Amino acid sequence: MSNLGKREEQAKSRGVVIFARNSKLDYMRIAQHNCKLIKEHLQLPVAVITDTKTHDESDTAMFDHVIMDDSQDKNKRVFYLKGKSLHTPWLNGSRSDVYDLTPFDTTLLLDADYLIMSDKIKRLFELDIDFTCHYDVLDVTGQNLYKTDRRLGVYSIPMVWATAVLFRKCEFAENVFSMMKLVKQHWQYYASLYQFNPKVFRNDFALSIALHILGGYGTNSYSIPWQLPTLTSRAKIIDYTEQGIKYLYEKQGRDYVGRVQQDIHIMDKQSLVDFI
Amino acid sequence: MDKVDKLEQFAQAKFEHAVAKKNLKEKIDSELYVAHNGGMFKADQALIAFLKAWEEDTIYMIDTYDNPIKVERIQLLEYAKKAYQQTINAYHVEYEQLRQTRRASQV
Repeated sequence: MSNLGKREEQAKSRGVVIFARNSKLDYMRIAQHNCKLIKEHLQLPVAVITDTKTHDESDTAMFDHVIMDDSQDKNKRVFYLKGKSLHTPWLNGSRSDVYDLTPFDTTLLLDADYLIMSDKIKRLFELDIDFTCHYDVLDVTGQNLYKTDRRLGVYSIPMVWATAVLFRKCEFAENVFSMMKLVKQHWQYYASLYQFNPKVFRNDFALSIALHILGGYGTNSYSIPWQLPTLTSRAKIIDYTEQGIKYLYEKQGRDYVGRVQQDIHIMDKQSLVDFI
Repeated sequence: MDKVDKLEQFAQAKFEHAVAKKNLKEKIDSELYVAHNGGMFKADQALIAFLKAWEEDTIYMIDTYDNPIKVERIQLLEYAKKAYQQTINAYHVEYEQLRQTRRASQV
């Protein structure tokens, strides 16, 4: 194949990118599991962006591309379940570098813990759009726990979710990720401007601000037309089979059980790791 | 088990059922979307009826992203009917399963 032919083939390439950098939680194990699911349901190549430490202690053979990124952005995150909490470093800061790191022309950027259990999201690749992500979240425990996450602050702009983002290599997407970097660099300033707590850097917030500004100050929407199904960190996975994920959650002192069999964002990473 | 315990269990089961039904409906709604000529359309009854009623083979329609899309009517109608039928059939099967279980934990 000529170089031109290779370039044309690359220009049309599609794939999924996952960040997986281990902390106290084994994110690579979750990424490996999700990689299997993606290959089964989407039949797309998967690239993992990881660091040297995680790479050296993991088997990455199943990924089509392994991209090393040793930047040191660090946050702390706390997961809760029935009064117990797990404090863990959260290596989420380099997400805005994905535009430069992705090997694909059209990229579906996924959180490692957004488990793909259907081919639904593949339809987004057929669209003539440059950028799309979720604006609405569905709490599958029916408690509407994310109602406060509709906006960055009480009187602020709508919040979007960086959990699943589809973008093409184009000026708009490049600008969005550049803007996210700018927001990250001046996090305190943007936190004051958009009235949210600056304690933890959140990609969701940086993306919300970038899309708000670059989308004509809120005049455009880039929303995936369905909600992002999410299993809160207050729910514990108690079974995970081909029939889906069974979970237990507490509401007003009583235990309830539910089951999902669809694409799902798992917030309690530890109980997920225990089942995969 | 006394009467109050039974009533509490009944209420818990009703809550689990309602949540499971809502989640199932959301899942089904999200599976109704079809891509066509760079646009995305929800394959619901209104879309199918509109495509069936229109006479010209090529039309321009506003998609879910509010973009005007050139639509090959017959082709989109075929996709929409297929997506609708598959999705709603699956909905019926899962809904019946749900109806026959007392607690969502038994599904």
